Amino acid sequence: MQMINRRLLRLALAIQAKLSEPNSGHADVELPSHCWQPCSDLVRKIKRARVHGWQLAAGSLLEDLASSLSLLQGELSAIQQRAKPDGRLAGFSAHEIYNDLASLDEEFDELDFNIRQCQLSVTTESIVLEGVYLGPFEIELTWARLFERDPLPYRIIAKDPHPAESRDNVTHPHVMDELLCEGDGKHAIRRALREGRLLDFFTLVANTLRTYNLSSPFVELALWQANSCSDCGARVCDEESYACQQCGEVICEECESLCRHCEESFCAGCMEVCGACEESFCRACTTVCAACRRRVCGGCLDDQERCTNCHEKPECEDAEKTVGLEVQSHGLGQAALPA
Amino acid sequence: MRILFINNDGGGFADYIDVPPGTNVEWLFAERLQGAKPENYLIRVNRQPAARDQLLAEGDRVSMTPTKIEGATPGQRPCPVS
Repeated sequence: MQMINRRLLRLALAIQAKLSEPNSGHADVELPSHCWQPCSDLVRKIKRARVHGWQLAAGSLLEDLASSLSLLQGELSAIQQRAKPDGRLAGFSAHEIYNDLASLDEEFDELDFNIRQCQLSVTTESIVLEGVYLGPFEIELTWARLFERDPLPYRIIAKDPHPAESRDNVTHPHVMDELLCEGDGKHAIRRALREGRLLDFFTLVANTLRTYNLSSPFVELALWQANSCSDCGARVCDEESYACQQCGEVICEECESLCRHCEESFCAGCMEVCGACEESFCRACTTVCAACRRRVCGGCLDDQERCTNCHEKPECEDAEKTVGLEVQSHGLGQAALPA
Repeated sequence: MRILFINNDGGGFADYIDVPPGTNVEWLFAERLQGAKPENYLIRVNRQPAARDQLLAEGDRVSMTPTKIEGATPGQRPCPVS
C-alpha cells in the first residue's frame, strides 16, 4: 500500500477547498472577437488575391486562415464548455488533486507551495535550447486565480537567469516579464487549468519551455548573446562582430577599420589619419612629427622624425635665409638677419 | 468500458469515452490522434508512463501530451497575454 504524503495531502485539501468555493470558476463569458477578426481579414485578402490572379499568395493566405480558424475553434469550444451548467470534470476532487501533486513531486526536481498565498510551483531542469543555456525555470501557479485569464494565474521565474543580451526581461525566447507566450499550447494549458488538472498544466508549460519556435520568439537564440556595435549601435551576433584591438569595444563588420600597417581591427575612435599621406592607421603605428607635432605613419617619417611635409620645408627656408645675408669680405662682422 | 481520455494536443479535450475491452494504448493513440507520431507524445495511464501494448482497464485515466509545444503562434506576433 502506497504511503500517503501528508504534506501533499494537506496541500491537496487546501487547493480543493479554494476551488470549491461558490462562484469560483464562473468567469464572465465573452465571444472571441479577437480571433474572429483575423479570420475575416484573411478571407477578404484571399478573395482579393484570387481576383488579381495571385494564386501563390492566395494559397499562403489559406494556410494562415487554417491556422486562425483552428484558434477560433479552440476558443469557441472553451467557451461552450464554460457555458455548461457544470463544465468541470472530477478534477477538483481532493483525491485527483493529491494524485496530481504526487506525480508532480516525482516528475520535477522541486515542488514548493505556500498555502496562505495559494501558490504552488515546480522547477524544471536546466533548459538548454540550441546550445544556449537558459537555466532552470520555476512555474509558479496561484491557484486562487485558477480561472483568470488576464493576467494569467501563473508566471515563469528564471532561477538562474541568462536573459537575452538586448532585453534583460526576456529570460527565454518565449518568456517576457515572467509571462509565457503559450502559442500552440494555449488552449490545452487553459483547459487543464479550468479542469484542475495540475499535472497536465505543469507538464504542458514545461514542454513549451523545452521547445524553441524559431518563427516567433521575443528574441532569437542566434542573437541571444548578441552585442551592440560601439560605433553604429547595430545588433551583431558573436560570429559577425570584431573587437577593437586598442579599447576592446565590439564593432560590426561595416564599422571595422583596418590599420594600413599592422592590419589589425579597430573602432573609429582608435584610428588616426596620417597627417602626410592621409591614410588610416592605428595609434600605435603613428608617431608625432618632431617639427609640426602632427601624427604621421612610419612611411611618412624621415630619420630625424620629421614628416615629409616638414622634411621639405627646411631646405626652402635655408635658401631664403641665405639670399637675405650680406657677406663681410674682410674678417668677421655683424649683419642684420631677417626676422 | 469507460475511461477518462485527456488529449492535451490542440484543444486539450478531457472527457469520458467508451472503448472496447482489450483496447491497448497503441490502439487508442492511433484512433484518437490519427497521423501523429507516438514518439512526439508523453503518454500516461493513471499518471504513469505507459507501454504501447499496455491494456486499458475500466476507469483508467489516459493522457496524451505533446512533448514539443511551440510558444507563440506562426503568423502572429508573440504576446505574453492574448
